Amino acid sequence: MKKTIKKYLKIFWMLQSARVSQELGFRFNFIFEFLGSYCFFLLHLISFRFLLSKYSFPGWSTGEAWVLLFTFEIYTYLAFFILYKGLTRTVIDIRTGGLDIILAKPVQSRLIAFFRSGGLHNLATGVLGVVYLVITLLQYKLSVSIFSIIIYIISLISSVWILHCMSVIVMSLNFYLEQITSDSSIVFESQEAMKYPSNIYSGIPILMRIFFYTFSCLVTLPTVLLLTKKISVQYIFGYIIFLVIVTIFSQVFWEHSLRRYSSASS
Amino acid sequence: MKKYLVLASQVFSKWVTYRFSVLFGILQSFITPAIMIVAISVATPISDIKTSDLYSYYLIISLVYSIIRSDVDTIVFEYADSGEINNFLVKPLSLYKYLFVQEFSKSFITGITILVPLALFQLVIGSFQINIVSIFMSMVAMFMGFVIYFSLSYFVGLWCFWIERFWAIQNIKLVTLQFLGGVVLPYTFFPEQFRFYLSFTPFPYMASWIREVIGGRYELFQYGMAFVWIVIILLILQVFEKIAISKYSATAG
Repeated sequence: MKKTIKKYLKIFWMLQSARVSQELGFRFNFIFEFLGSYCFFLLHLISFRFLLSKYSFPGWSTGEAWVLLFTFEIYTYLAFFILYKGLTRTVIDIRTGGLDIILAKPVQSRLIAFFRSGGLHNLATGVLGVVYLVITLLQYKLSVSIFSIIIYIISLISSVWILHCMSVIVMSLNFYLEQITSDSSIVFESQEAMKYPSNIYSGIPILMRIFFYTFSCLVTLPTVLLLTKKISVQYIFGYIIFLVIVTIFSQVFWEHSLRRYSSASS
Repeated sequence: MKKYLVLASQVFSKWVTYRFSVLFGILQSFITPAIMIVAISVATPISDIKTSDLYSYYLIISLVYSIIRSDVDTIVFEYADSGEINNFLVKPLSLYKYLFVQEFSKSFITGITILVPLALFQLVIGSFQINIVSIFMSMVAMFMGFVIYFSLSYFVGLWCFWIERFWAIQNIKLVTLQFLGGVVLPYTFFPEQFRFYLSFTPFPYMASWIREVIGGRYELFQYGMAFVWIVIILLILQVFEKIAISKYSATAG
């Protein structure tokens, strides 16, 4: 088990570093791509500023709301960096037969298919999010401890994993349905729900609540843990159960869907 | 003219075959506004803004946006990248007109699909003044909005002849059009002076203005401004397209 984890971590690292070194070969492109990423960051920043000038979120001070936003930014760009390229490419590979090459490799097809790295510019924008986060913490004098930072990082990684699992489930539709060009981005568009604290969704109808809670928890939980805000045991327990469920379901979906795959290139 | 009608019928039959894809596309344009509606409905207002007004705003704006939006820049990039653009250099077909018909047909189908929920909304809420004039004015505004959005996207698409990492420009386009067009936040959130300056740009005429027209508030000045911008953008495109195409070197062999 330990050996397998080590092997996959090594492959994951190699995939990411290969892509990074490839990108750094074209520095002007990198700057240009960074601007393309940063404009979304800026959009969130400006729209959130306008929103906070008209509304407030119960149980969250202005400083805490900003910490939530920058956690959202870090999370989003981290997810983009690790997952997005694989997600969009896999959809194309399924249609064009490119998945053949991935399936022929002696490693987990899911790892190769989905973790192809989505650009260094996303990582750079994520780092910018960290800078903004630190500035916000200092500006609003919000205290954090080493322990809360460690749990924050762990929960952020778990949330990225959950998003990956959900993307795999939605993306598996491509094996069954044809001509869906935008399904993979639906999960990413739903990320918008994470910009707001999950407690504000408590008063809405149950079905909608499940949807909004699911997404907002992914960012709210790390933020709450970082700020050491009060949190119920059920909330953390629910998050862990959800993590386990989507991990199992995504693997089942992926394996089941692969059986339907017939090479388009042959 | 006949060849473009044939193209339109081809697009119709394609999108009728892939109905699920059309519905998926419409659903997608509702995600962000739906989340925004939920967020502001449970947040506490600290200004004189009326949250109830924002419900209909986001509903209409997402319907309008799903009709007028066009990803023609992506198509131009794909054509240039694959060398398919060669067809337009040797055949008596205008690239702009070809893509316009293709994208407009798609928007038309989306519009027809959207009529159903819109009619239901009118039956339940009944907040629109429905008469021949308002329907006509809304249709004209929608068409003008589509032309502006399409032409600006096409303009952005032409940059692919110079820029390798083209998606970065696409992102900037998307953010600018969504934010300044009033899709992300209503204009009431913007400072008064900023709104005034915006009315002289093409951005309000792609979504926010159309929503006002559908709501029964139409001014000739706004139609005039939309028309002026269409003329300006088309004139720029005439020149820019020639320069861009001259940069093209065939890749399809």
